[in-house]
Amino acid sequence: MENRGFKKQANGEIKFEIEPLEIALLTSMIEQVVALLTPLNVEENQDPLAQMVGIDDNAKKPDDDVLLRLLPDAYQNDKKASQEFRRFTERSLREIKTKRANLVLENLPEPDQAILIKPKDFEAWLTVLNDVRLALGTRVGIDETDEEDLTEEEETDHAKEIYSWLTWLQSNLLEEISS
Amino acid sequence: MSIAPLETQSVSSETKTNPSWVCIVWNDPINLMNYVTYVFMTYFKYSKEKAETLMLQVHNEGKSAVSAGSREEMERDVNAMHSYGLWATLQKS
Repeated sequence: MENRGFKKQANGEIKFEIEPLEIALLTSMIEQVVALLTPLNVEENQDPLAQMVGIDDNAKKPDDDVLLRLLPDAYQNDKKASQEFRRFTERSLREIKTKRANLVLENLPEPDQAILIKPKDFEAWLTVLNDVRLALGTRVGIDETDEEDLTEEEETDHAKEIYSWLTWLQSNLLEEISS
Repeated sequence: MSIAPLETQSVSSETKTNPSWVCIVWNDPINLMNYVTYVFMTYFKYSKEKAETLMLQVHNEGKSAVSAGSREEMERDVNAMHSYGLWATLQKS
């Protein structure tokens, strides 16, 4: 695809021309990931001290494939160690991802304006686009054959079309950041 | 003077001499090759050359041990890889 829209400014910021419809799409996709990462009944039956230091006794391996891809097990063949790892880290991992997502949402402009990304926010942008791609890609079952550009036939699937656009966006942003 | 910092120091020097755990990054069809390289350079501060070598190992061989250290250090690295969306686990080396 053509490399349209991205331009590094003299002050190091990256400017990206984006269509109003694309802003709406990006907003919706990121909000869905935030909703997915926000646990239900977080504060119930929790030891306040444990909460303060980020321990989550309710943390358990997600049943949902998408959430499991965003919050994977830390040990390949040790359920007990993976569970203990979750208890100590899952809450803060959800918080980090949510915080970055909200930062990107706040960075999205009014419908008729370009996106301006400050260097300090490059990492948040790349990781949030990645989380959205992980969520959507897992949901639609992206495999190795879909890794690069999708063929026109496959693009008839709307979700894969969006996935392909997000891939293009992340890839070009990274190229511009590295340039 | 508190003795706590001294204790911390001795623990950290002990773990450094005992790198018996590794952080493994696994191949997956979603993460882009140049993004994986970016993460290795950003988080581990690896050179572009080293980061690309590890990324290609993940891509071609299905996995790569990207760092080694104590169990606590590797849990920290795995947690960081998860925050970037890479699929990582730790295991004894």
